[in-house]
Amino acid sequence: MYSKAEDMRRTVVVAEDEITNLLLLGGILSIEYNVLTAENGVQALKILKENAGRISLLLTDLIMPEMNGFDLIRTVKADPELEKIPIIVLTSSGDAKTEVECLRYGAVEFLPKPYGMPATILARVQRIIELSEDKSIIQATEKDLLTGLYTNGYFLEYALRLEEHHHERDYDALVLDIDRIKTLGDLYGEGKANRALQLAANEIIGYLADVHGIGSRFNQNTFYLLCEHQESYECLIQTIERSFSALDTDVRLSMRLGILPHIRNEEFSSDVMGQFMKAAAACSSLKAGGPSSIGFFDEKLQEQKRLKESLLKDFDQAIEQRQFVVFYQPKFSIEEKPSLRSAEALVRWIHPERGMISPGIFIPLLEQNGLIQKLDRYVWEEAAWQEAEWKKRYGISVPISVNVSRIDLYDPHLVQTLRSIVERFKLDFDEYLLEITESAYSSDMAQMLDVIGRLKGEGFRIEMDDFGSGYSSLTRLTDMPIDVIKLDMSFIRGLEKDVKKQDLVEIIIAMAKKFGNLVVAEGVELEEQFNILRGFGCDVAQGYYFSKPVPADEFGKFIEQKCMQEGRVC
Amino acid sequence: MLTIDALKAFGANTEEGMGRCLNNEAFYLRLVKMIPQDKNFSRLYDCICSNDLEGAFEAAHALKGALGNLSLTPIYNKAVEITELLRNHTQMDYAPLVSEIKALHSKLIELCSD
Repeated sequence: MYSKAEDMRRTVVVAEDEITNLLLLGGILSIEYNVLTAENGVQALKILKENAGRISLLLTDLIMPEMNGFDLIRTVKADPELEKIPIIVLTSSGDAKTEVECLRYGAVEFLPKPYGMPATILARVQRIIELSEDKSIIQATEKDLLTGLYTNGYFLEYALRLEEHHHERDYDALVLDIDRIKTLGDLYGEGKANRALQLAANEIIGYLADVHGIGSRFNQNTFYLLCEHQESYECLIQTIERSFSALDTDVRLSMRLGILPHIRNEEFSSDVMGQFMKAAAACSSLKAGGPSSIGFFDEKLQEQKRLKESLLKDFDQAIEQRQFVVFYQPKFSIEEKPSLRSAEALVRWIHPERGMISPGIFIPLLEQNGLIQKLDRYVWEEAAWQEAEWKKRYGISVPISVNVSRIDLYDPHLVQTLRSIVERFKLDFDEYLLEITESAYSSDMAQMLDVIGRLKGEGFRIEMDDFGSGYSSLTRLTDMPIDVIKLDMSFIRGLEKDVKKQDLVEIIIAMAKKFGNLVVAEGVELEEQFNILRGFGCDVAQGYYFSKPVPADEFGKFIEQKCMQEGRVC
Repeated sequence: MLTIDALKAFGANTEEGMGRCLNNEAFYLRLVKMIPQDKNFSRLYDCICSNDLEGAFEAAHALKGALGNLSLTPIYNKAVEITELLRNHTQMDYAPLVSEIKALHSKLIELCSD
């Protein structure tokens, strides 16, 4: 029985007619290998055939009876079963012509006679076997079996080398996605989907040959390509699309091609994957499922992405360090002498490194990443505290409205949370108003009705924010138990110049009032707008006409004015 | 009986030859004992007699390898000399060189005989 180590020993064949040489070399090699010996080429070939697939190396003399070494090498290299066996020729030193001939036939190395010392022979033999095995592994793994394109790791390595060896060339990095491959597979079977990938790959391989490029199937339906810069890749897309006609299906496959043109040598060398990620970003920015399209990497887009990632990372610390600051924008009654009615709490992020960050950037980002609730709670607490402070300081109440995000409405503890805030800061419900954006109402009517009903039941006043900004339904005015509608600023922008808009606003205000809702106009910037709204009977105006959102300290002046108007001593 | 000392006296580089044989003296001596019977000696002599320089080259070439591997220096040097002459198809009287090889061959036979 063989031991494990015995099983792992590689087998080598020595062909040599000189018996002393054969015994000597066999003795040396048997330290590390199983050695099979032959006294001529015919015997050697027979041994090789009988042990096909198990021989790691052939060492052969050249001058032998029956079949000489040259014929043996030629025969082995012509036999598909044996061709991958590396061959070392045992030769006399100094015969350059013979050595060149052997290399041409397919030998990889020479062992000159007299032989070197055993350690040297064993080291050389080991190296040759390793190189050969490495080569076999590479050949077996470097190509994707389905498409014949490189596999990922090899592609990135070869791409790096290609670019390094041809610094002078101008290369583009490309990422190509084929859409609806999965649909094709679901409807017609995996074989059809694979066929589509093969058709695409065949065209890619043909194309790359013309543009000195290499390509890889990076995952299921994504290809990474590196090739010399081209002004247009339309022909690649069209060629692949044409090849899909052979599939004979109803599924219309399309492609998205993302391009990073003119890759920079130093960036490519230091971060090859990063360059393809840029092309991938260009690819994913294209609309999936539509007609085939081509897009280029946009540094600005990438910068925005990076900024967003960085902001998400900083968010928790920003909450802890109170980098979020609540600003307040006053709302004034629309009358001859407007007076301060209330304020809307609006959050700002004062980032220690980036300065003031627009809510237009961070609010949608936090909404998309499930962090908005945490920020909302922060603002709710802060605004309630501020309201209590103002009451204490000025002796009058200036109601503050806070925004409730759509996702908050699904929180089973929402009502309890808001109630506890109001109670904790000893506020009345009409001092702490809730703004819920109109779009929230369209998602789940029953759920919204339930939550808003419960909030109303507690005593909260509800303002429908951004009314008219989305797919508005006037029936909401009757269905929803709301107190206030806030006309979206898009109605107010240009109101003074647009008669039709004026008619529309007039009707909405009239209708809202008919249903008993107070109307607030957002984004009022001009006196003309204010006067038109006044004429329509709008109740409250908010916008730069009065003030931009300001920090709490600055807001104090509006309260002081109100005190003066009302003859109070603050 | 063949000994290392006798081979040294013959002029063999026994340290080198033994090194190739993994410093196994018995293995080395066993291989050396096979040399006198090497058929390439008689082939070389016959081919030279019949002026078959190609055949003589093959025989000399084979002997050169075996003698070199065992570091039997005096006879190896002669084998190298005649091999190179034959490789270049040198037309000459090979008899004196063959006689020298034969003499060394005979010495080796003598050393190897019990």
